[in-house]
Amino acid sequence: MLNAIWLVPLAPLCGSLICMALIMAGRRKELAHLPTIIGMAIAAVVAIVTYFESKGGEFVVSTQAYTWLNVGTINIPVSLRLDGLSLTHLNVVTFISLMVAIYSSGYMKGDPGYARFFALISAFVFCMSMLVLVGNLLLLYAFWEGVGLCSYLLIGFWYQKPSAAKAAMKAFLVNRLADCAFLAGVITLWYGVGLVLDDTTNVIARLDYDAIFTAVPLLAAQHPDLLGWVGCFILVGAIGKSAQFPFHVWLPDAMEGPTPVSALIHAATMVTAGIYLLARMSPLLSEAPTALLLAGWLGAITAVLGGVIALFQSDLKRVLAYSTISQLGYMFLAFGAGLGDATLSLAVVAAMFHLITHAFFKAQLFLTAGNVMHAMGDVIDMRQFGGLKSILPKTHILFLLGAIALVGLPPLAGFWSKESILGLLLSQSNDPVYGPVFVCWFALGLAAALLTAIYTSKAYFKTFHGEEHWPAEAGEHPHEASTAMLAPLWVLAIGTVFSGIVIFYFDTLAGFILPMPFLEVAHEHHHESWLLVLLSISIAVAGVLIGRWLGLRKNQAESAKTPNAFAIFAENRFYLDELFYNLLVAPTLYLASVIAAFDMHVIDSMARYIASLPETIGNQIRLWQSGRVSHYAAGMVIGIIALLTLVYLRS
Amino acid sequence: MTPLTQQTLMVGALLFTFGLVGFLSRRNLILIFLSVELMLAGVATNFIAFGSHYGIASGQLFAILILTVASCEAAIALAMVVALYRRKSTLDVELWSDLRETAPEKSKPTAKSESSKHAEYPVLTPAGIDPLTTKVPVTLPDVPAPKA
Amino acid sequence: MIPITIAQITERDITIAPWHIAVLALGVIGLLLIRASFGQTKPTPMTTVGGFVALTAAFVINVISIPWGIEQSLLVTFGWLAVVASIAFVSFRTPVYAALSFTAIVLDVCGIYILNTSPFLAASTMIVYAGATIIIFLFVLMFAQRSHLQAYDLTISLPRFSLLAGLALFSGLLYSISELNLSEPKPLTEQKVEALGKLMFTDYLWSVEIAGVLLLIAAIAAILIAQDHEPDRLLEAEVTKTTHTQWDGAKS
Repeated sequence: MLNAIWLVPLAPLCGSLICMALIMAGRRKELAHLPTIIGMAIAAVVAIVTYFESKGGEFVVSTQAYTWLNVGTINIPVSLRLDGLSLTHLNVVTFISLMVAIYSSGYMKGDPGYARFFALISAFVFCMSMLVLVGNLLLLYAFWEGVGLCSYLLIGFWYQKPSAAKAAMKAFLVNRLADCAFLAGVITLWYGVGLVLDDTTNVIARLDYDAIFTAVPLLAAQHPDLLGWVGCFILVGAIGKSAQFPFHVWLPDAMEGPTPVSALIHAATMVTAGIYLLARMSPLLSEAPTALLLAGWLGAITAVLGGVIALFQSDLKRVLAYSTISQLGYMFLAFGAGLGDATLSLAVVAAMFHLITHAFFKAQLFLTAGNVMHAMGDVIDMRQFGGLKSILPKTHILFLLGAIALVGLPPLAGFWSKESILGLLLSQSNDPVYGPVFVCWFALGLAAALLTAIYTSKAYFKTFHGEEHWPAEAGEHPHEASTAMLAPLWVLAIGTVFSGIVIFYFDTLAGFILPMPFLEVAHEHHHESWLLVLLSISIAVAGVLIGRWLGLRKNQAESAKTPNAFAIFAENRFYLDELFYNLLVAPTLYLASVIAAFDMHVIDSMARYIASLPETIGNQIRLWQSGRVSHYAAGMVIGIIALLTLVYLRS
Repeated sequence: MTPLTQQTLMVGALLFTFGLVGFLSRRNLILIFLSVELMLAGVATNFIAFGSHYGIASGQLFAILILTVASCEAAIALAMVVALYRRKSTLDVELWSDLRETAPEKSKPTAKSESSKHAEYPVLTPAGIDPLTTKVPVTLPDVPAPKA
Repeated sequence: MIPITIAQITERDITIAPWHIAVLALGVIGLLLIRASFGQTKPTPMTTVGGFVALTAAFVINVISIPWGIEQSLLVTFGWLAVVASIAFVSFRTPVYAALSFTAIVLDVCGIYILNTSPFLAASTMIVYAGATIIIFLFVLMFAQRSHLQAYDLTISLPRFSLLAGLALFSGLLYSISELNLSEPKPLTEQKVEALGKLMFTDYLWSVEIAGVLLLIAAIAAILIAQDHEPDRLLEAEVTKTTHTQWDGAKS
């Protein structure tokens, strides 16, 4: 099945094209979910079968799928490159996307843009799987932008809503900001590889992974500064896509899109791209410690920051969004833990582990939140409903499973992956150089874990326990979601419950990913510290209890209490949006207005003046066209006399 | 150059000049055409002078051709004068100025600013005044009322 | 006003003697005075008389400064007659007089043709121009004639410009004539009309044919242009309906 890997991107692409054809034909749009689901199912099956056939280990398969550009010496083939890392990520992407697509067929039913939605998510999955599969950094960048475009279109899916249009714009622009850095990194890297490798036959081939990783040790020896810059640039690109501080501002606003899109973005196709990029570039990052240090700090800050903000949000989806930011911070923290010698491989494994488990339970949480939203008549403010346990029993169980996984209670998925990150940090804490840093990060990680437990349980108790009430939009009798919306959740629940423990105990992931080419692999595994396990379980339990108290508080009591300054601060997301606005948007707008004024008053007036010149002159000349014969004759006479004069002056 | 030739050339130049002066200053259609004939006569005189000087008959021949062309011109010109006279009952050449350009309108802005919301389609410059819609001063003879 | 003669002047070197300038100045003054009287509704006698006096003075100076002979005197006479008739042509306000003075010009020019060894052409010009063309012009003029002079005959367009342009053009032509550098004159060897006839039907056959075709076309065009396409207003007003249809039938 290794040779059929091209089916993985192709099937969603075909699904997307069929959906677009349906839109253009304007017929059978209600069947648009079928090509999408079939395409993704093909992709998922191929990915899973390939996974089991490959049996892990060091394998690299390259196939040239398509020639993008062939001009003179510039030949850009689109070659697919399959190894353990990309195959693992590919499985996550296709599987979660398939579940989300099935769920969407129920959730989006009756929407006027039904076919458009499926065309877009198919394209989204196509771009993401290509991003994972290509073997060249430039092509990765191309599909990176493709993912950004699809996310823009999906966040702004309900483009009639001004808030959705704005959120889409915001997501797109914030991503562009980070992508500028990424592009700078790509170009710098291209330059750097050109410095150390004398491969002039194909300029684009310099950005092939193999070429890059071959060049990295040479670069580290000859141009360490350049390599450091490249690492930082790539890191900035990753934190933009993965919504890390300070580029996290777009992700909560992305909740304006349909809920399945949120699930897709948060679990499978968008934010994990940043993690994948770092994992992919880990041989490079191992030589760029600055970038790793930065990644660790940003991850730690983001994990805590996201947790704090999530605690003060009343919108269920926003809580989950900040939770995603926080969990992604964990993954970046894991990369930071790879700072020491030869531990980056472990860090990659830990990050990917958390990525996988997080994909399962976050997709599940989002989709159950979608169920709640569906039942509540599109109301998602937790203050307006509560005690939904008896109304939405299945959704309740599913949400509970996801919540436990997120909180990190054994034996559900989140516990194991979080443990592996924290354990990695702890085992590094006696590092001679970065030891204190690791301790600090460990503490921040624990704080983030506590916060996670608090906000998750708060959201859970607020939604499903307490006094039973719901908003007027939900109607008289809110009802449980349809089978199409529940079945994929049960499938996801299996992953939520078992993925962590399976991966941990069978230790499949490290064996599968780790023999990465060019990456030095550390073979000594850190040992599980029972103390750490006890500590984190107790922290989780404490968090849950605090969250339960917070969630079951009477709404009146909450509103009567004067919020303290910190609460206001956190509720307003630490005013980071405003900061961004004032630092970046406002000056840009001001500059734009200055340029517009310049354009209007200087350029345009010049152009208008030049344009009015012929008319002005013509208005004078046209007066000579008096229609009187004698005037024309006068003109002729003047001409004759002038000619005569000329002739005699010259002779 | 003999005095004969030179003085004949002189006469030709003078006739041409007077024809020009008449052409420029006359307003009567027929007299304008006569002025042109005068200019042609001046040119023909020049041909005669040179032909006589060199003792060849070509000068005369060209004068004959000029005579022919002048006759053609006279025929067509008079036909046109008759046709025009039927239209307006006048021989004033100033009245026939339908192909003139009108003065530009002052109120119209010379160029549109781009801020205007609606798309502006280019308007072609009018070539002269529209003879179908513009009223020219026509002096018709007083037609006696039909008697019962 | 024929200012430059060549009494003592060699062929290559034509200078302008003081009397040339006197003739030219007098001629200009005369023209100006006559034109000045032309612009008014009624010509002022003083300027008209003054203008003609100046012209006469120029003529006298011209005549007494050239070597006298029968050919010369005839040429000068015809020339001055043509000039005076031209002035009359551009100055008369009554169109018929102007047309008649054009006849006079044509006759004078024919005299000059005879002096320039072109008697056949003189005769044909006299017949074609003075005999036919001017008569047709007069006929059309009378066709359009009103009981009194019209405003467009009493006023002129571009009075100053036409005068200045005429002067400028004449100076240019004068200069070019004075700069002319012709070779030795040759007498006509053959019979004059015979030579012309030979030339017409040998070397210039095509030109003559084309001129003939042009005449034919002009005749047809004149018929077509002069045709009355509109219903006659006078007829419409005066003739009853039955006679009108009868007219239409006759036309078709």
